[in-house]
Amino acid sequence: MEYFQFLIIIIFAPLVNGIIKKFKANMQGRQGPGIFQPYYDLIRLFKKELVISNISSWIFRVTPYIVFSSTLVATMMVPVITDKVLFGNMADIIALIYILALGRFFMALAGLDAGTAFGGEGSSREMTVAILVEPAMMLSLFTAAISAGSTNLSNIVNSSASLYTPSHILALSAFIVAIIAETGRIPVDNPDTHLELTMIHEGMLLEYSGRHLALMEWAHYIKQMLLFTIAIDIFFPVGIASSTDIASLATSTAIYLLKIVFIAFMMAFIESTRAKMRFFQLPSLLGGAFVLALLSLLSYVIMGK
Amino acid sequence: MLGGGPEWWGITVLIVGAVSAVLGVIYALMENDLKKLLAYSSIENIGIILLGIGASMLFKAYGMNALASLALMAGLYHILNHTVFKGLLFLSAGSVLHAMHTKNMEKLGGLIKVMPYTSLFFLIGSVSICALPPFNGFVSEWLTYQSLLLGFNVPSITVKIISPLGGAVLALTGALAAACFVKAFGISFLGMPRSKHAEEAKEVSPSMILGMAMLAVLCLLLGIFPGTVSNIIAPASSMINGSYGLPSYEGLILIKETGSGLSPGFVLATMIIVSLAIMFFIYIVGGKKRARYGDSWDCGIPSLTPRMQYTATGFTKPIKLIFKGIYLPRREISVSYIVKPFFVKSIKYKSEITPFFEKYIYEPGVLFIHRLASKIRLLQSGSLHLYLGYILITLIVLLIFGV
Repeated sequence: MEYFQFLIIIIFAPLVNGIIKKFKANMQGRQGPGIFQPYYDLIRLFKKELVISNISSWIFRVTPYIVFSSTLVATMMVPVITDKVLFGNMADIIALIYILALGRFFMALAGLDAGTAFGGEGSSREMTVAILVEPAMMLSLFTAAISAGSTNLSNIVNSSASLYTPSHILALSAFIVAIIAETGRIPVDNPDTHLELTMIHEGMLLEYSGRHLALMEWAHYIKQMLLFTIAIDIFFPVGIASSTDIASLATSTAIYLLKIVFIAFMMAFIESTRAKMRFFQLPSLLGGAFVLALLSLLSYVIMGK
Repeated sequence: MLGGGPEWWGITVLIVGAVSAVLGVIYALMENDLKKLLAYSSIENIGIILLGIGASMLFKAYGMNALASLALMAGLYHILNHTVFKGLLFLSAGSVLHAMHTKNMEKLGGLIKVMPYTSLFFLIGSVSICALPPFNGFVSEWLTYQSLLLGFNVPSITVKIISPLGGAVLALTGALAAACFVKAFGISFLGMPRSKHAEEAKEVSPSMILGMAMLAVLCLLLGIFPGTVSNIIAPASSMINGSYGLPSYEGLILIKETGSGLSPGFVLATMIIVSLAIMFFIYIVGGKKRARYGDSWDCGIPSLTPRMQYTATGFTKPIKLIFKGIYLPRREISVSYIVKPFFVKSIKYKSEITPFFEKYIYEPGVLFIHRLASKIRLLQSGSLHLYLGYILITLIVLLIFGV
């Protein structure tokens, strides 16, 4: 039972995106589409015919499967409602980040495959953003790993030794900035735009259609909820079940869903109150995140907690 | 040197490794010559190896032999991996050169259609060198991360700060390397051919393919059997530092100090199962696959040309601007007019980066040695009498001091 907790992320990921969109619409004074809209979109895309560019190669056709399966494997490493995961002692946070990087690598290649300027632009920007995000994200995770004495996610969840200390709060702020960049949200990227000159993530997906597009979108929703879940696991693991009887699983599921909705609300709030930044201002935002992560490490070393 | 020494030796090696890793890959990114790009990336990989070795020296300095052994193993594992994937990448770049007579990426493109095997092997090499699972680079970089994080157990504030920072540098290097090889593979092998040569290129001979295939298989095997490989390396590493008894699983590495484990083979198997499952799922939900082939999206302007694609220079332009403090980019624009300023005849645009190390360190050094050499050349006049004189003088000097 506890080994199938990753299914929660796979099933609810589109819903979380729908909820964020609904929150955003409400904050902007709009009605907005229903929270189940992403599911309808996915099903419709799965049924649609594919249009594939003659210029593209097999890379373009394999990429959706690599992106989806790598994201899913990453999901299997993460404790969602209990601290026991399918991957056991192989549930490693560094491995997880690199598995997600595998998906990004192929997505960027697929962007270049169709030989259009937009795809190349998307790939180039995505890789640039990754360069800026990766050190901050890793360093904030390192602080968590060091205080837990392990890079194994189950162990990190179970060691609440350094919760709510200065280093913990600094690492959390760095990690939130990293999540915003990784999920392609404002102020880094605009998830709603298809304007050629501003898009990053959408630019790479421009040539995709039908089931391929559905897989890429679904993988993107899963990655978003996965990152939220990692933030919960590391920074507010309170309430996660350590036994696997039905009652404690039910409570921890309820608590988990509440936390996810809260994070969704925060994301919508940040998106509605900020404007997208110019691309070349990103280094100062993401560099700032790195400095926060560094301060977190320093304060952990100095204060010892 | 590896047998111990004061703390600052290890710190020095760690810092040299970190600087070399970042600068190597940063210069590799700007290179549009396939082989030069690979050469710069060797600098990066040697930096990564030094991160492992530096961590090992730090542990040794504090008498933590087991950890020193682990960190040294990370370095040695990466040496082995670098041999394999860099060999593979150079062989495939060589095949491209053989077929195309150019190494300039801006003239390649679309090679995946005409050289399918070479492309596949270059892709495997790229994925390995970017340390992406399930290939070999991933295992050794993961071990390096683990060693650097374990550096926190060393009872010294400097080491506690510097070794996780080494890990952050490794993360930066990894992301830069990924960008670098997306560019190398994406621009050279994908998209539309950028020159006549690229359109008409032919796949290389089977013997050349076989050579690449063997290394590509090794890349995968060294990735999915990390336990076996580390058991082979462990004796060398423990000879210097004392034993580190890794559990002898074939496909799994487990660090016993932290309980962190890694199994790329398991990741690969799960990915394959998930892919099959999702194909079945799509079949249930969406029915049989229906596909139509057409042109890429061209904004309604008919006929995309290869010149409209992203170029290698364009791909790395944002990175060049962000790291302009390191690259010191320069550009010259010269415009010649027919009637100034309305009718332009031609515009010449030249953009380049300043090779800092070549210009300010190597070139002055080479110049100095050349000057010195030209002074010393006075000795070699070509006159036989003078040479006989030298022998006589040497003999006398030897007789005076030798006896």
